[in-house]
Order: sequence, then C-alpha cells, then structure tokens
Amino acid sequence: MRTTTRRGFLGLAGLSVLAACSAPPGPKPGAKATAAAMDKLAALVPKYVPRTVLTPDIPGSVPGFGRDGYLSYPSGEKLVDLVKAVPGKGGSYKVMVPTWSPLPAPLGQNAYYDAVNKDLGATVEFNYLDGLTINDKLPTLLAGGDVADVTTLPGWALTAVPDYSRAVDGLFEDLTPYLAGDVSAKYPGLSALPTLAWQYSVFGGKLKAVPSYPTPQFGWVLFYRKDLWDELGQAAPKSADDLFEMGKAVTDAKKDRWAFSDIFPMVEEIFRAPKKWRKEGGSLVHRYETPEYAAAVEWMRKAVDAGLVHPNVLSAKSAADDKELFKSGQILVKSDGFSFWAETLIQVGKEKPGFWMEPVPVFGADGGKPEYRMNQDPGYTFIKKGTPKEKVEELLAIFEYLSAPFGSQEQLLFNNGVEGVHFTRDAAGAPQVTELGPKEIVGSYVWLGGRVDPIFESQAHPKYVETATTWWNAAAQVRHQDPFDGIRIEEPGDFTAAAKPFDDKVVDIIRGRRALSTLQQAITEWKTGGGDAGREFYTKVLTDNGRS
Amino acid sequence: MTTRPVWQERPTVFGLTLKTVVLTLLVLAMVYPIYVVVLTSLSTAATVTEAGGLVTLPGDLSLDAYRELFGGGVVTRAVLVSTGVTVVGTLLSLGLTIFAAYGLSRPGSVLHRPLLFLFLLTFLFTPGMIPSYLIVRELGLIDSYWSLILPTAVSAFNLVVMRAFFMNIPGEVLDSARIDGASDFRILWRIVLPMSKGVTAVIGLFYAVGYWNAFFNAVLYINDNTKWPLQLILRQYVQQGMNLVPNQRAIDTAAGYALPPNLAIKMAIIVVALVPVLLIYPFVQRHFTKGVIIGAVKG
Repeated sequence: MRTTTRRGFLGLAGLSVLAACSAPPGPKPGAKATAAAMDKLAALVPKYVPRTVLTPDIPGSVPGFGRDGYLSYPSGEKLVDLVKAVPGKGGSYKVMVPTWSPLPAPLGQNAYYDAVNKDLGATVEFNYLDGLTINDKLPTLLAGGDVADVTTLPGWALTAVPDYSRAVDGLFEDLTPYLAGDVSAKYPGLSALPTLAWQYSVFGGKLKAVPSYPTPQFGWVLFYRKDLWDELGQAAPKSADDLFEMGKAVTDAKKDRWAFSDIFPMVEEIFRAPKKWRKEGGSLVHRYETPEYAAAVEWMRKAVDAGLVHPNVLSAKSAADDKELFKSGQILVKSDGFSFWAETLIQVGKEKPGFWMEPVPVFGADGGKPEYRMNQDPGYTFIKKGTPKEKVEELLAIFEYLSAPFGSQEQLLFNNGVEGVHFTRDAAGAPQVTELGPKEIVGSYVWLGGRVDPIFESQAHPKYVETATTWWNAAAQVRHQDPFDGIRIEEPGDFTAAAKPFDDKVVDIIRGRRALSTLQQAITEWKTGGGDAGREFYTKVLTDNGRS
Repeated sequence: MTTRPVWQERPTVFGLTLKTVVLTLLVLAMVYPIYVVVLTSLSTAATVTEAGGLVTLPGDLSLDAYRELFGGGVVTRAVLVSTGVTVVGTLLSLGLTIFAAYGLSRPGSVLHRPLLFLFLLTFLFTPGMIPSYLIVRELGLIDSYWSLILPTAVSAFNLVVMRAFFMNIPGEVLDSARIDGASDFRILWRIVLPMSKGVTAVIGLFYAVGYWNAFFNAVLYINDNTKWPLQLILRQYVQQGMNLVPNQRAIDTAAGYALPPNLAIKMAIIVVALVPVLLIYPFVQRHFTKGVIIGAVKG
C-alpha cells in the first residue's frame, strides 16, 4: 500500500532518480554493470596477500571460501599483539551500522565502547540502523544525504535502493587512491580480505568501500535433527529419493512429528539449479527455465502432497516460525543460516544435553554433487564524501586495526570486550559472556574493517567445531560457480519485478493451491514480463566484461 | 389482548442460552490470547522449549523475561521518551484539532470551505515517504523529538469527527452566549468544550494510542539511538532470530552474544506495549459509545 503510493507520487513528481522502478519496459537507460572489464577491476582493489596469525587446528579447504577451525580458544599468551602503534589520532567519528539486536547502553555508560576507543586512540560513536526497517529507511537516508562520518550497509539492503550507485557516488569518498594495488605493507589486515569481497566494493569503476564482514556465507544450510533421525533408525540421505523416503518413514502426524519445514531453496541447490543464470553454449538460461528447477518444484510438491511438511509451515505466510518447531522435534529437517546451528546448540544444549543437530551431509539429487550457493555480497563500510585526507587515513588505520582476525589480542578486545567485565574464560579457556556482556556489546566495531572468521564456537558443543569445519570445507568444494562473480550489477527494474509474481505462483504450486502443470505457463509469463529483457541485459554484461 | 412489542417480551430460555454461549465464546476469543501471552511471558525458557512455542498450561514460572527486558536501562529510557512524546503530542494534537474543528464548524468563518477542502484532500493523497523526509529534514527536525509529533499532529479523520460533533451543538446556545458578550474563545472554552467531553476524550484516546504505537516516524527521522521510542526498541527484541536474512545475524552471534531471546521475552514485550493502553481504556470507555456514533444520527 505504502509502496504503491510512494511510487505513484514520485512518478508524478518526476523524480526519476527515485522512481526508477516504475520506468518503462526494457532495460532502463541508467542500468548498467558498474564494474569495468576484469583486468581493470583487479587494478582497483588491494592485492590479496594472505596472512596467518595462528596456525589453525583444521585448515580451510578453498582459499577465500573455506574456513579454518580452532578446536579450543587460544590461551592469553598465545594471542598475538598485531597492532603495535595506536591507530587513531584522537579523532571523533559518528558511525552508523545496522543491528538486529536490542540496543546496547550508549556511549558514556558503556565500558565496552570506552575500552575499545581507548585502544583505538579515537572516539567512535555508534548509531544503529534498525535491521528490519532498513529497506524503508535507506532510500530516505540516501535521498536526504544525511550520512554519518562512516556508514556500514549490508549489500542486499543497498542494492534494493533504486539507482544506488549514483547515491554511492554522490555521498561517499573514493578510496581507490588509498587502497588500490599492493598496500600490504601499510594495510596487512585489509590486504588479507578475499579479492571477491573487494571486487564487490567497486561501484561505478571506483573502489568506494571496505568490505564489511567478508566471511564467506552459505545462503541456506539444510539442517536435520540427527539425534532424532538416528533414533528413528535412518541414515544420511544420498539422493533426493532417499530424502523423500526417509521423510516418509519419520513423519508421524499422530506423534506431532513431521519431516520437513519449507526447504525449497535447499532442494533447488540439491537439484543443482543455478543461482541466477547458467551459460549454455553462449547463451544464458535462467534458473527458472532449467529442468533442475522444475524437478525441485516437483519434489517439494510431492513432499507436501505426501503430508511430510509441517501443517503450521504450510499455513504460515513464511517459514519464519519453524525454529521452535525444529527445537521441540516437531520438524526434523529445516533450512536456515549457518549461524542458526551454534545459536541453537548454545540455547537448547543447556536444557537438553542429548540435543544434536547438524547439516545433512553433502549430497546431490541424483546421488552426485549438489551446488550449494555461497553468498558473495558482503556489507560495505563507506566514508563520507569530502572527508579530508588525514581523516580518511586515520579511519583506514582504524579499519586496519579492526581487521585483526581471530587469534589476536585486538580481536579478543573488540569482539568480546574486557576480560573479567564482559567475559570470563571457562575451564577450556573459551570466553564466556558475563551478564553485562550482551547489554553493552552488539555487533558494532566488528562491522568495520572486516575479517574472515574461522569456526571456533567450541562452547556450543564439544563436537561442534570439528563437525562444522569438516562440513563447511566439504560444502565449499561443491559451491555453485556463478558466471557473474565479482561484477556489481544494477539489473533492470522490470526484470527484478517479474520475479515476485513468479515466485508467488511457485509457492502456490508447492503448497498445493495450483496445479504442477501450470509451471510452464508461469515461466512463459515471466519471460514476457521481463525475463527475456533481463536475459538480453545480462548477456550484454557478460560481453562487456569479456566473459561471454 | 394487547400485544407487547417484541423487545418487551420475556426472553426465552433458548435465546438466553444462545446469547450466553455466543458472548462467552466472543469473550474467550479475546481473553484467551492475552492469557497465553501473559503466561508465556512468565514462563521459564525450559517450559517454553518444552511446549514448542506458546505456553497454554502453566509450568515453571519466573520473572526473568521482565528482568532481562528492563535490565539494561535502554528500555526504561525509551519508556520515558514514548511517554513524553505521547503526552506532549496528544495535548498538542487535541488542541490543534479542537481549534480547527471549531473554526471549521462555524459556517461564517474565513476561508472555511477551501480550508476544509485542503484537510479533506489529505484523505485522498498522502505524501510520499521521501518528500515527507525531505521536508522534515529542511525544517531541521532530524533527530528531534518534534519529528515524532509534528508530521502527524493533525489527523483529518479526527478533525472531521470533531467538526461534525460541534456542528450538532444548537446554534441558539452559541448565539445566546454571544449576546451575553462572550468572545469566540470564551464560547469554545465555556460552552462548546463542556458539551463535548465525550468526543474530546475519544479523540484524545485516538491520538494517544497513535503516538504510543507509532514507530515508523522514528525509523525515518531519528538516527540518534538514545531518542528512540519504546515501540522501536521493543521491535528489536521481537525481530531477533527472524528468518528473513539468515546470515546478517551471524555477526552478532559470532561471539555468542545477543542470542535470539526466547519467546518469553517476546511475550513480555507484548505485555509491556499493551499495559498502558489497557490502563487508559476503562476511563475513556464510557465516552466511547457516544463518541463513535457521532455523526451517525443527525437531528
């Protein structure tokens, strides 16, 4: 309701910048891939120079995608003091970062801020952007131009703003002169961030941001209640048919037990549907058009028809409430973010010692490999345009300090606070939050700088780090390869808009409100409604970047 | 034999039973959710996990959720902000609405037609979010409490309801006051308002509930977190652990901080948000029936 009104009004007012969504059909004139040709892209970002701070117990598999594992938290003596000089010069900065947590105590009443600021040699004051309303707030913030000295924005929120690259260009400082090329002597921490994350920080041919939270992520992970699964005498599935049969065996509506939540996104990956496009003999085939996608829809519908999906999930608008059902054992298999795992183990583990969940071991629909999608659009930390050179350098020195990875004294401080105040060490040496910890600390400094986090949450469960690292590194090897990796794309509004009605139809098909046979019809409508125009646009992007 | 009208007949046993059953069901439909919310907010984390969601049968009880909520000082501060905004906002809105409604209800007042038309226009055309933002910004109200009050200070709906009520006050009463030498302000204060206690209370309630529940203005206009109202702070507790953007939360949980609150805290939040309205309601309720049918029957 609000959106319609807003767009309508903007259209009338002729604010073409903001009304880009309602532009006429076809690729809009401003739409373009903002990354230059690949060789140029490489010249805009810092050269990748990896650095090891502590030797991991389990090393990561694929550089830039795998993750190291630490079975125990390093003792105080082992922690490396990475940054010797004080990075700040006494400057004072207002920083805006998003949060999905309740607000911490403000600066002045917060010992955590005081401790980190003292070590930084600068005053960083955080204002938090409410995570759930970020999509509403951001267009106004960018249109008004009231940005703080430093602003961190998640990639998905930024790219949802029409014509965002123009806003980025107008509001934020160009960092190319400071960071392009080999800067590893000055910024060893920033140089150790994955190249792909840096490439996505290029907007309109300029390096505009420092990647925030460049730790690779899986969009979705398929979890199962292995404790109950074993109890019911099932093994790990090796194919989509296996998963279906096992789902049938474990579902017992009389005992309030269903096999699945809505796991469709993961089923797609198991069937190897591409993330967006696949190159087939010189032309692009969209995910919706692939037989893999159709097979995934069919499988999910079959599971719904067989009564294997929890009825609450089917009647809900989204699968948002399935966490509690999974914890209580009413749902045995569900997809969620990777962090759901440690989070749930910590939460439920205390009350139910026998509780154990883990990702379903890597498997593809036909018994082969799946293609798990990894999220490669991290957050971005911008510096306000017009910031004087010495201030930019002070900020970059602060970001460099904050890019100190796990195993350094700096990271322990800005991640966990002060020992004895915000955390204590348990018998195994792992930091445990005190009661004050969560009241003063939410993700704040960690957004700035960026670093690849290893897997180390040993407090979750004794088995956790080993199982998690092993799974992660195996899964990273079967990750989906996207032809558009590293290219920042502003796609035509019509193409983006065409996805929604299509996805709604697919939800209807999966939930049994539409016949499976209508899928082809939906695809045809999607094609004419913007799909084919999108294909043209994306093909051009590939050509422009020398990847066709 | 004189037949009595149907409403003077003695009620039949069947009718009585039916009414009792229907009304009981209706009451249950409203009371039961509140009961579940309150009970869950008072349950321990273990009880909530056991129930797999909302708690319907009492298990272990504790006040942990409330302790957690009010522990940091952030929520307490937000209660003050919201109370301040609600009190100041309601008084201001009520004042403006009364003046405007009175002026527009007197047929002879200056530009009364075009002004009314302008008010009514806001029914049809709401300003877009970005234009509103730009205006608030130009007025220098970003990060000011006034940005939570001024943009929504006058509601055209409330204005129209109040105007309709004022128009029903017999002109003779006002004329006689004027003959006695009363000014317009005096007429409003001494004659009109005392005759309009009901509608004033109801409109005041509308405004107060509106200000108390509003959070979106704060999302847009307030960057300074210490000025956030209660509803926005409470939303952050509720939205924790939502499935919308699974990986964005990884950063908060990396260190084991800020785990999603259990359902008990979420329910405690609902209770906290609900209580003030529940407290005010009984006092205004007696005016309510009168208030809402204003304009329904003219004569």
